[in-house]
Amino acid sequence: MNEVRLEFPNLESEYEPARDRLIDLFRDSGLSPEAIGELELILEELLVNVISYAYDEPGTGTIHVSASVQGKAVTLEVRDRGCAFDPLGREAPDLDADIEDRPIGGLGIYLVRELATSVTYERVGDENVLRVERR
Amino acid sequence: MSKNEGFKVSRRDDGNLTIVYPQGFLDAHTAPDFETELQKAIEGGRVQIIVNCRDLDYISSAGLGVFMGCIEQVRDLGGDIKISNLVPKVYHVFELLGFHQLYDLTPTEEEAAGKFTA
Repeated sequence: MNEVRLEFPNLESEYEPARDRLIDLFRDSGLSPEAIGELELILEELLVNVISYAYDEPGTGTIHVSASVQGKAVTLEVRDRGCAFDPLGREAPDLDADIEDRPIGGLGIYLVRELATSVTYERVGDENVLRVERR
Repeated sequence: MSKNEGFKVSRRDDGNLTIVYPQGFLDAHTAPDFETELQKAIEGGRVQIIVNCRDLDYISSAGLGVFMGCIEQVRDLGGDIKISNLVPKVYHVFELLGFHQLYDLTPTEEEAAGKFTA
């Protein structure tokens, strides 16, 4: 099993280096370009969101990300100590709604749910823990 | 893939049509540049817009949010945004979010142009 653990402050500038480390892990683990493309999308949706919204002020909190690959199965875990927030708690966007009735928000987490095999959220002590599995 | 990304956007006006060419990675970081280009066109009264995505390698929800943010305004002004030349990976994201039901997606720029005159 290949694994990477990262820890970084909630700053926008931290997103790209973190993503690149994780993409390197996926590539080194022999995942297909299609799988890596979808994982890249999952990473952006998760990490940009947590960097932007987990804490009130930029640079005041820490985000922990771990990723492991076993065969073709990928597990991602994102943890922060911000306010309790369950991104899965909001309703899925109505994809049949007319354009004026479709909110812009919520598309990112919807995409993650579509691309992943499972997505779970837990509040553990003072941490938000979001786990994504893709097989 | 992720190591050499960048984003550029260019625009060409052709009669009543405005064709916008996003290139590279349209993500949370670059979506404002794309939005600015579209808004410039709209504010200049150019509302028959084709977004030719032949060189668009990646789109996330932030990029799709730009389409969502502009479309009502454009349609209220009597125009539309048609999207052409999506590469399969990007088309897949449009499809997952049901955008193929909201926008005309065409294989070529010419077909998109034809939908404005149809």
